[in-house]
Amino acid sequence: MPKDLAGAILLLLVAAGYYALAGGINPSALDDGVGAAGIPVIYAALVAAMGLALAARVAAARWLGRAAPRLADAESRRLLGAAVMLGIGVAYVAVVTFLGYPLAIAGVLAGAALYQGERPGWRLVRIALGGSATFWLFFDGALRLDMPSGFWPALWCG
Amino acid sequence: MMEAVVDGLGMLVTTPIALAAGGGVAWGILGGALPGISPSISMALLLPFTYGMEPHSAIVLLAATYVGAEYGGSIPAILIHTPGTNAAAATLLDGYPMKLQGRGGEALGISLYSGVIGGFIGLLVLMVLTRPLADLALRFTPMSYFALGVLGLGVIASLAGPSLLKGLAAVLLGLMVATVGSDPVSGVPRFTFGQPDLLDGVAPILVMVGLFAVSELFLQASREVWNRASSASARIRWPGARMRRRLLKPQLIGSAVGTVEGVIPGAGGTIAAFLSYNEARRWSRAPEEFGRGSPEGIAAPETANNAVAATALVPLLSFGIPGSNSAAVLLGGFLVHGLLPGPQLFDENADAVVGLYTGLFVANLSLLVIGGAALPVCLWLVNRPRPILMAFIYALILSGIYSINGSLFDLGLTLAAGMAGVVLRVLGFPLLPAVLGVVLGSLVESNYRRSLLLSGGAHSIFLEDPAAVVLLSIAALLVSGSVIARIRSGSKQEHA
Repeated sequence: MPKDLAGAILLLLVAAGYYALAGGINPSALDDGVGAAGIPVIYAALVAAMGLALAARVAAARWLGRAAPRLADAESRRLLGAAVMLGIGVAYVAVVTFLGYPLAIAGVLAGAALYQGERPGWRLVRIALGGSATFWLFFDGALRLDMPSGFWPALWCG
Repeated sequence: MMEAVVDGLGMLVTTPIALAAGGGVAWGILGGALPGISPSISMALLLPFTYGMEPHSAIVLLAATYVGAEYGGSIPAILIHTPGTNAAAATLLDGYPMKLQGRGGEALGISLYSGVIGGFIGLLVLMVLTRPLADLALRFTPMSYFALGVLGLGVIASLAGPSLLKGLAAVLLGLMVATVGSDPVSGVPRFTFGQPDLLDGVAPILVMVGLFAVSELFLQASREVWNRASSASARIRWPGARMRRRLLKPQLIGSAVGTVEGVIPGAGGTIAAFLSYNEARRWSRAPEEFGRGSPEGIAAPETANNAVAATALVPLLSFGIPGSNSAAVLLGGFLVHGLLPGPQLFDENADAVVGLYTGLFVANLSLLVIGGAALPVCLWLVNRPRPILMAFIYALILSGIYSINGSLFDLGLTLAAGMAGVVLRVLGFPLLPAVLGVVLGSLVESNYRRSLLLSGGAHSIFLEDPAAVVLLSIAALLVSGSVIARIRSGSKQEHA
């Protein structure tokens, strides 16, 4: 798919979703002439116009027989790679309150390193646990920030 | 100006500014030395940790990081043929050939020496230009502020990427994010989905860290590994008197180009580095040496990009409009501490400006010492296995963002901004206009609506304010000029 076409579809989807949400903004007795939804509606219209202009550019390029840059396989792989890294972050957010910061951040270190090509083994375990201890000592110990402690305190206190 | 110098010297002994400047330079050099970690990313990584700091030191820490990163980028460019920052790509052209000739230490010395010269000249320009421009902006009405916001967004959208259309679309996407939260006039919640966390809007810091740092990290997941650096090259050789004389001309060229490019929002260090390289070659007595290991080919771009590190702060401090990614992150630092860059800053928080000038002075001075001392550490860092390095940076981002408010919701927003940044980058949308849309969205909307309240809804009020007319005309001229230039060049860039 041409990159500009993907960009145009994205902009049109964002504009449509944003416009629909702007319609749900409640009016207020304190509203000025523009209103709370006034500017968002203008932005939605302008983004839709940009999307249509990008789509028109793709159509014009095709009509003129010009090659439009396409989404390469490598770029699709980069998107997939980014999604996996995002997944690691989302998993961290999901489990950190339960597992506690030290264990969850060790999981991030191991997961991200593994995904980026580090071989599984004792070296990876050592790096994840050592890194986690360093981070925990820095944030919780040195900076005195209240990082999530997870189920561990309940385990120790009965 | 003398008063500012005296105040600045006083601050050196009463606040930990010198420590922040040194720490920022060291962090910046390390960040800049890692390929893919740009100055803005180094600053964004540090941003969450400045929350608990005293405001002056926090701002200086971030600004000094910018200074250090501009030099740090030249280290891998010279030693392993991989620029640490975009601007350092120009340094690579002659730095790496010098290293191949066994003159790597000399190339690093020229880079550091020229960077410091450029930094000092940039600081002088910053100190001279900012106050008069801020005084001018003090006379602005809500109409002028609206026009100024439009000008800033328009200029950056047209300069910050190969496609004007995508630049403008990125601005609008940022403006959309800025509408999240309570309406500035009526207080009605907009796009909050019933989440109390969103009532105050999306904090620019989360968008900045997400778009700049997280998206880069996500994209690094599929990048090739870089070369290894030899520890034998970990020694800097300072240029002698004869060499210093030879470097004078390219340094003057670099300073001039860096000053002009830095003051123009959206231009930035990379353009300045390549422009000054070309100009230095044009005016050189030995142009044939360029590309084969010419010291002048290192001096010009390094002077230019370090001058930009200071002069890029001119539009930020005088008008509140950040002209580059790094200035945008620095703006985030100001906002974190309740300081609003712009003309009022000079009256309400003049000591913050003096502190910044003093910090930049100390940062450039300490670059001379730390630049040499940090080299072995940089080489060690560059030689770490990349998967481990990236995993640690990811863990640092996750921990840093959580530490701001102890909020997992913030973390989720940052990750979402990161993924949005990946999609935008892959589809060729520039990120800086989007960030500026988030930062300036509130200024544009609230001043537009305040103007209409003053006029009873008549848009003619924008034509009755001379400053607004001038600023809107400049914006229209620049954007239409950019459109015409692109049409003339056969729309080749539009399809890049």
